[in-house]
Amino acid sequence: MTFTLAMTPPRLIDEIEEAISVATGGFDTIVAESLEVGPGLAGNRMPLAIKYMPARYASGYRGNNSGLRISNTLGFTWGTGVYVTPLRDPLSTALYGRAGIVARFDPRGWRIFDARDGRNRSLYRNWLENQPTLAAALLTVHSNFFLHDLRNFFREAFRIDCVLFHPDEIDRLGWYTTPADCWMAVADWNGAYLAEGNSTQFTDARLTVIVEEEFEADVPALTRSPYFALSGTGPPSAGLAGRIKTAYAMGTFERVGS
Amino acid sequence: MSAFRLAAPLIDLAIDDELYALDLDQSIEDDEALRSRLVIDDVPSTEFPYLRPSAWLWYSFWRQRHGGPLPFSLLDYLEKAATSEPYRYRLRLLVLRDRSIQSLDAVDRRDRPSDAERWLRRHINRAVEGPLDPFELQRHLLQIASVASIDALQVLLTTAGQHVATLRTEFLQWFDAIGVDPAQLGSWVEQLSRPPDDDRR
Repeated sequence: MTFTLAMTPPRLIDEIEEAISVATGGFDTIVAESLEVGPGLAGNRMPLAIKYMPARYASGYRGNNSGLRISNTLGFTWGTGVYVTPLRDPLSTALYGRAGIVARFDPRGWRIFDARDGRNRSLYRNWLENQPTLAAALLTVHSNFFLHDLRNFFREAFRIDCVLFHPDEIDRLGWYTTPADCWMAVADWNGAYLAEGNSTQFTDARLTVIVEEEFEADVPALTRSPYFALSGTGPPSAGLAGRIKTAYAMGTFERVGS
Repeated sequence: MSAFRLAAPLIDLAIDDELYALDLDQSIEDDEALRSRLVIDDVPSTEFPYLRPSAWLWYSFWRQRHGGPLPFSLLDYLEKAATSEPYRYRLRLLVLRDRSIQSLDAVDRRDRPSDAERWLRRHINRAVEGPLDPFELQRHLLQIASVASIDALQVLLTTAGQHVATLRTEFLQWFDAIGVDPAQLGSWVEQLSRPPDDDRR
């Protein structure tokens, strides 16, 4: 007997399943805009994603590496997963580190929950209402612990491979991240549960983008500010995704000025 | 020198910073002996002072993720330190998702209980007889919603003595509010109210 879905009203299950079905189709556009320039080793063009990290941790991505790491600390919006952006939004998470790691991914068969859509966010809130630990999540000082696990349980209950969401953290000047960008929280699976460790959803991860600017979380950490802002404006974004794709294909680097 | 005395500062940093967690992962990939001491071996009680109980709980999940067995010497220590609900909840999650419990069916778990199963039985008893709260345990078991947690719920609902009727009422009200089909709900209650040993008949 399993109660994983039993705690969800049947009609809500149908609505969430419908949302997943629709979102999976809507993701195609993002995938098409993020395709690599030439066929990979498997002979087909794969979409690319990018993850930024501090330079200290990026040097290992110049050669063979064990792939992107699954984030599991409490601060991540949709729980445990690999947090990336499609290459369509190439600088959107540069506020988290100067080194952009580009990797291929294969979204065929993914079940996607599009939390950019307010109706879907409402579905998640409706699902929350029936969870046994919701009161503890809302009424105690330990909210973040319970909410983190509830997001994970939701994704496990509906076997959601990828949550799409708009940025919930933006650089103070708005030069790198825009509210309309798409961020992705991607799941790896260990049986019925979300896996941790290194992701198998992303392959051929390679250091490809080096950003001159560096950001620090402000106090309180409601924004992130750049240290330099040398040019007095944001980096030129026109054609950047294409140049990064080319650099990835050529095994070179794309440098982004401050 | 103690492996945990050496690793404790990095474990403390890794709890809140995934990049330090990467360093911790790397440390056991580079050193097989260290991996054995941190991931495979049980944790001697002499090591307990090197970390706070909440850090030991984080470490136990980390160790589980790296394929290690539950550190049984730690579980009772962690339970005694569990003075907050999220702490108790995560301790239960740790045990109920452990592969030593998941890999067996309910009958096997009762006939050949693993260390985790025996700890879980003691834990349920402490909810039935005190000092743990059986209603909180029921909520956590429902939230975790694994096969093992529902089996544990069955044990709770059939051994909770003076609390049995109230626990069942709360269970019924919970699912009734969700709108579960009454026939389905009746079947669950009937199953969960049957003493676990009856499942073998």
